[in-house]
Amino acid sequence: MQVENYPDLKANQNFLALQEELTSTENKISFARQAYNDQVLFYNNKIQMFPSNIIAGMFSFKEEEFFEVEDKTEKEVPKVSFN
Amino acid sequence: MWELIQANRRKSIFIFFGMGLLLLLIGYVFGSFYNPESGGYIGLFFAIILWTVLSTISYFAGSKIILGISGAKEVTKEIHPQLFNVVEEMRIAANLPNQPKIYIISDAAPNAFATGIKPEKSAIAVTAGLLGQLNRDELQGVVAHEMSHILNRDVLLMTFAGMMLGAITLMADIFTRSLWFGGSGSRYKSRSSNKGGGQGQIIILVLAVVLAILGPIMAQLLYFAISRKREYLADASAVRLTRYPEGLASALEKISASHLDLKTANKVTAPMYIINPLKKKGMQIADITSTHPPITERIRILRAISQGVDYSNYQAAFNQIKGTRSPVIPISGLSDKSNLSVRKPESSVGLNDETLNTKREVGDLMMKLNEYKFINCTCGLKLKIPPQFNNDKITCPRCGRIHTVSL
Repeated sequence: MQVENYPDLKANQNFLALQEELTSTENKISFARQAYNDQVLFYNNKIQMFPSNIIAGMFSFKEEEFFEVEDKTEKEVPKVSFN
Repeated sequence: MWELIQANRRKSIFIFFGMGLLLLLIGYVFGSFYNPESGGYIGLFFAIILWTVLSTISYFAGSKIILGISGAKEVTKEIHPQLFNVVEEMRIAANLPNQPKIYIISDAAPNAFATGIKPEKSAIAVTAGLLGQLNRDELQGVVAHEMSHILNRDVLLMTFAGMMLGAITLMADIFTRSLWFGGSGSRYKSRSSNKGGGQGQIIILVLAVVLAILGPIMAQLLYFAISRKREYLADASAVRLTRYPEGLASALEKISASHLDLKTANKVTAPMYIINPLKKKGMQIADITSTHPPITERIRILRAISQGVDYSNYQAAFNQIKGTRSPVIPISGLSDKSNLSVRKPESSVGLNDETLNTKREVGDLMMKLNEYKFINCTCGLKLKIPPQFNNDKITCPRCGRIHTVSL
């Protein structure tokens, strides 16, 4: 058995864990948005490029729009406070 | 990104058949060396059997074997939540349907690898040392690099190439050994003296010896060349996934600066790691016999990316640093001009910033992996109990409180 005399600061650890979850949640949202836009880009490129553009023209595929947040306030990170 | 997957699939098929042909040729020549009439077909048959067996094993059990050899243990989210979060972020960015399984190797040397023939059955393994040394952005870069290997089907390509290489080497080995200790040698002599038609036999012998020497070398060089290109490509994809080249660059810097050796790595598993675990310092030039590009070069290319993060930007940086125009990205990938900009670094979150603590953290993580139990005594002492401990009560050595060890 080993022993160690460095008590963990529980409060600090919990706070770091919360901070990690907040960062990660934020990242997951932005990466999901990024992945969607990547797909749209790929699709739009296919529509424009030979030879897939022939099929796209025949069945009249339309270009998709990128996902963008227009409302600036929606993009902001929610504030977390402990008061 | 999807163009690259397609390009890679085509390449996999090409290698599959190219190296397969070489293997068959070697089988035929070796066979006809032993028996000129029908031996060629026996050799051919033997080569096909060997190839099928190796491919089947690697297809169905390859990743399990590799994870087993490297001593990786599958972990749950509680052991390292940040790693789980980062992997999931990259899984979302790469738009893969399934979360790869996450393994931690209990070793203090920082390194990582990905495995799995299909994205659905993939796994990412990182060492405890890597988790201790990297901050969040750097860890994300490394995970993105590994996720790119999964996304681009590099594992499939490298597994087939590796198995083919193994088969060719094995056959050449058997052949040269039988030449040394040889019943076959005397058979060859007596036959040629009986018939006197040694001309064809000598040609076969020369051809067989040349193939036995050159075959494995050629296969190996081909394998190394593919492997190096895959590493550059995975770096490029990682940049595109994270939108942040500096994260991977500084992670590579930290990993290469480490003096620790990864104990479980060997010749077979070495090409899979993000940085070659066997080669230490001093590798500056692009060696044709190495599986990984020189690390300094990879870092310089990543740092040269300034405007955007799509593949054409990586190619531009690559050309600038290497001073060549050799394409590292398949042409189909370069059409992707999306003007994606580099994002800002994240405020480094997590426990990994204080370098003072990392050694203890790495140690704790490794103990957790090895099923140590941790008990925090109220007097402030932290008890670390090894799995062999088979009492259900333990006394705190300082204050004498008795704790129950939950089994």
